[in-house]
Amino acid sequence: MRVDEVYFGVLGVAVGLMGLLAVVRGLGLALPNPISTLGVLTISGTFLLWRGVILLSASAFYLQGVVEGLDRRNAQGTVFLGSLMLWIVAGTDLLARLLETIPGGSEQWLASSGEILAVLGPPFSPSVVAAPFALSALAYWSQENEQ
Amino acid sequence: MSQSASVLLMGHPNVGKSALFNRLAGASIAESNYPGTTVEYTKSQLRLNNEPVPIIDVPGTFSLEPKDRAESVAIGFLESEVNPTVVCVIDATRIERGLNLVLEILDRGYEVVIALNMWDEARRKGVDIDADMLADRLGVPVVQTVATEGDGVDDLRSILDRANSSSLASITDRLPSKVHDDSIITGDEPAARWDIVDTIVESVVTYQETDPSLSDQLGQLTIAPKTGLPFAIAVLYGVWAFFSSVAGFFTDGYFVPLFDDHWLPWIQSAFPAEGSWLYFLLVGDPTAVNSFEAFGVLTSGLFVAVGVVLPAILALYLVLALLEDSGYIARLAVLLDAAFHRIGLHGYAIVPMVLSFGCNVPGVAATRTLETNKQRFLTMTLLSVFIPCGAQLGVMLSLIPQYAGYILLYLLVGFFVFGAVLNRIVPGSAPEVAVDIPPLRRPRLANVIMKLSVRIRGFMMSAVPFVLAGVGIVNLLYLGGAVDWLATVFQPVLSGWFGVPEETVPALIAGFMRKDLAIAQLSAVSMSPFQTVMSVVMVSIYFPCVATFAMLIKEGRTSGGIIRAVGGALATLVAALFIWGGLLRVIGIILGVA
Amino acid sequence: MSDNKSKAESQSSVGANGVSCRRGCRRKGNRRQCKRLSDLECGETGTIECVECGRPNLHSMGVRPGKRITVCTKHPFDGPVVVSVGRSTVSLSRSHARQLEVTTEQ
Repeated sequence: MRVDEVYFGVLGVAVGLMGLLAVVRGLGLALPNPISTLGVLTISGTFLLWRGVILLSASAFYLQGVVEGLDRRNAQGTVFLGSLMLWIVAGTDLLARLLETIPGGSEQWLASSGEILAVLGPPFSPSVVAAPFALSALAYWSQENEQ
Repeated sequence: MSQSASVLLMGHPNVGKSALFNRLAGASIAESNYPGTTVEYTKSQLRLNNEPVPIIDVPGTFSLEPKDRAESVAIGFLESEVNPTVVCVIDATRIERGLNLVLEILDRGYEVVIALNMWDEARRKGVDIDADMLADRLGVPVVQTVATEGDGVDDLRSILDRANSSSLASITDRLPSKVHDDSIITGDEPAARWDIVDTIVESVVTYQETDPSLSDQLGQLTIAPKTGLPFAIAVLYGVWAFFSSVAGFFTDGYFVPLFDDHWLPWIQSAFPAEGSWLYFLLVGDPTAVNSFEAFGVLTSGLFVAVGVVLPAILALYLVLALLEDSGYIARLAVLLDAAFHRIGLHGYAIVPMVLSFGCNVPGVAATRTLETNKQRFLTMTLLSVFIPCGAQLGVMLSLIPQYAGYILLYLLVGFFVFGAVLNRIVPGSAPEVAVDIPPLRRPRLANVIMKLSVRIRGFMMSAVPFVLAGVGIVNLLYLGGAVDWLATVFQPVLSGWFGVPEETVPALIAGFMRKDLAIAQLSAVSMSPFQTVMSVVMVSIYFPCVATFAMLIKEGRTSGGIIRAVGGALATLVAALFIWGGLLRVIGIILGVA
Repeated sequence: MSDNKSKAESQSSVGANGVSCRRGCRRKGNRRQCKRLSDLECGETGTIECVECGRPNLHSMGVRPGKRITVCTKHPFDGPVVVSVGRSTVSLSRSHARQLEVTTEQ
């Protein structure tokens, strides 16, 4: 078993669990928000159901890639695609937070740098938590450029 | 036309003709990674030996036997120009089919220069073409270019006057092994032409086997249903999230406070003659505290145009440009093909549809790439009735962000329901098509920015005057008493059928000019949340804005006649307004919110 | 090979339908099997025998007799069949795929 297979297998399961929680909460079932126990992770907000579906799919892509074996280019592509989905959700999430804060509300045109940095801190949505770990999929990209 | 013979850029769709054109002529037009961007031709001047020569970017065509109107335009050019120099632009990674078109053009006796474009990509993919030998075999000059980077463009320019004609028979003579001797004589026999292509390719091209790259893999995965559909959800979610946060950043973050706290109070007090008709026209309500409600040309008009519509359009066109250039749109088209088939269209109807989310006008124009009158009519009608444009979405997001997504969904469902019905009752055929899938490419920043600036400029030049004029006309109608009269006349229908107050009449009038303006105006009417949703849906479905309507007339003329096309579109929208609007009210009543 | 190819081509251009194509396939002997493109599974490869649709457009996209064609994906609900042929990827509607005759190695 390759190292990357273990890595993406674990990541896939973690993303899948968060996705499942997001879908269930998105459907309106009263499961607790993990922010109460974990502190850094929050599963809430708009389009929760959709974001949950995307997380679940990304997790499925990871697991599929692992099952197929990550020595295959096709499987690497699948894992990369899953990472891409996480980046899209995480990127738009951070962008939305940032853009909401920068104008700084009434009487000022620009929020202070402290406020802006604070909004980029925890708690994070699942995709933002997972996105840095997904970055290792870029290795497949650079591997190819070396060849 | 002109004293000097013109230069035509011809080639398959999506081979980089427009990029090459920009490089040659120094103009700026949009280049996309999907077929059919250039539905209208673009013409410019090229300086050749200190003489201006007209150069034309011809819409992409697969062969000289046209299958749709965009292709007929291309062939029309070739036939109408006197002694043109044809620059055949070939995608070097897929040289075979490009050569087939070259032979077709040569066979008709035109003078040709060949640009082997995307040379860099061919290299990467292990396609090695002996350009000199190719020039030898064909008897016409061949230049290697990378249009997006500008490589080889000077060579191409310097070689234009050496364009040559070459008969198929002479090409056959130069080939190492003779192809079937007698079939060549009848040159337009496609099989014989392909035989020549195969023989040429065999002798000048060597393919090195390369592993499929990661982007090839992604290209395959994004088009397969199992992986492609979840990814499409992520992409669409990303588009929507990006659009709403960027538009919100500018509008709610800056323009709303700027207009509401500074511009509006200032102009309300600074403008002379409060109470006069001019004040009413230009400033509107002297007591209004927000820029949506004041409704004067210089208050609401300016605010909607600059503060709401511009950011929305900017955000939307930016993501659209990224999607276009990456080659993802074609994949989305294939994924949605089966659904579109149910309504007599094929997945490629998504191109006009996606453009319509920016603005309906280019969307209607893009229906030209569809094949039959029926398909063009269906697409044109459906998108002008059901697809809200970017400006409209922007205003919706700013006024009723919590409902905007649902309204969009309801309209899209309507698109398919009415599409299915129209498909049954409109006569005509809906042929199946084969669609070329471009490879996924990394969008180039320079190209995205250029495309964005061209579109924004075009949009602002046409939209801003319309918004301002729209406010002016509605205010004039108020002053003349027409609005009150119309409100009384339509009151039974509005409250009886749709359950909205008669005060929505001015918004419906404004809707003739601009949909975004109409929705902005609705915010001034006090309504229940459901009534707001209802009236926004009504404004969206009901009459297309003036600019779209003009385009419908223009395109309708060549898609089965104005009366048939525009009459059909109007009939559809009246039916859609009453049925789809009425249905929404029924849903509201069932849910207990109406 | 090229002889067969041009025959299939001329047959299709006269407007002959699947019958004559199938006859063309049978001549190949037992080692090869004639199928419709729509019957190929994802990832299977065949050689195009006859493009029977009277649409030169398909030819100009590179879908033409004698070429190797690989099915990349088949979309559900009678959706399109995405193939790679030559160096390009083309999406064909299901009805096109049904009309396209290919031979596969057994």
